[in-house]
Amino acid sequence: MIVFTLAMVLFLVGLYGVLVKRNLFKILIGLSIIEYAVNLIFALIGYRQGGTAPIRTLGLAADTVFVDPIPQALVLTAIVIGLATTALLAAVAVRIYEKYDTFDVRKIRKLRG
Amino acid sequence: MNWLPLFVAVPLGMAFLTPLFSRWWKAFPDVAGNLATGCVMVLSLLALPFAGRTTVYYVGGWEPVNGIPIGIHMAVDGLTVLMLLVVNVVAFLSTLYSVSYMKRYTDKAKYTTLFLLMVTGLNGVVISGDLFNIFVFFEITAIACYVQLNSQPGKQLGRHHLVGFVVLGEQGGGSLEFVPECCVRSMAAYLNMQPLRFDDRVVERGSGNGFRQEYIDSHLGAARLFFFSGVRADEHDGERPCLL
Repeated sequence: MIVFTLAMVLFLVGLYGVLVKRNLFKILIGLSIIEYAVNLIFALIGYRQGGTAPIRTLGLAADTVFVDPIPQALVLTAIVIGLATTALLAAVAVRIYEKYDTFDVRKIRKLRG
Repeated sequence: MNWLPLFVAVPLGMAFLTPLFSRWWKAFPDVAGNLATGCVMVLSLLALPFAGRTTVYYVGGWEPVNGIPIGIHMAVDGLTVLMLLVVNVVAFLSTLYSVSYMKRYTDKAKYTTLFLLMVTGLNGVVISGDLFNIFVFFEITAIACYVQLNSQPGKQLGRHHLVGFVVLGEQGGGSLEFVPECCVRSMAAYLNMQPLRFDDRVVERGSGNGFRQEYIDSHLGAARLFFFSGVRADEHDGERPCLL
């Protein structure tokens, strides 16, 4: 339960970054932290105490406990999607910087062009 | 209903062919866009007789074992047919209108590719039978929308608006939608929606912990609300970033 609470704390840290920070890249980092917190919760759900990697091999004992492979596969997909979004947002942030010469969202709001 | 995957495959295939062939044939993006959206519109009309019942298509023939789904499945019922019809008729009319309207666009091949990817994602969201594929298709739609907005000609949609859209979209799509999936996964051994509704384990645990089906539905609804509020925030004011 403690690990789930810590993952929730991580989620809140990311949310804080998105809501409070002014720098575009810090907002981006906040978003990434949120994504990883949610991924972590999902991976924890698939965890089994004393479980091994879910790969069947010869000579495996009948009572072997496996961790749940599906959350791991889903998290892997989510990480790839998250990477695409992060890369896109980083590229947009760089273009914004080229245009406005700042990463500060409040200054960008005041500038027109 | 073996042709159900065509709702995803046709626009997706055309989306990948468009940048390849538009180098040699300039009109290819228009032809491919209208052909693909026209095809899926006809398919959605053909799906009308299936509106009265629930039809399930198991991708790769992976049928459930002892009632537990082991693969991906797509499902069609009355609401799905209606949604498919709305999405594909609007998509077809949009591509038809864009033939002349989008002439000012610098790169029509890119526009058509992104538009067809968006249609792919929307059709996928509608016909998908499990929560995780909804998430994947939702993200395909979202990323196509983000890039499309970033590539708009003129200054009516600035890049700073796009940041607001992405932040709201990712909060909704990436986080709010994933949380109910975690809850469902912890209650049942799968994420397929149709058997989930009738799963006694989910119903029993749902009564005890407050994780009812309505809870999952409301979370998914909230996720979509976040995403589309991003679109609204973007449209709200053409000159000022709304979220920022």
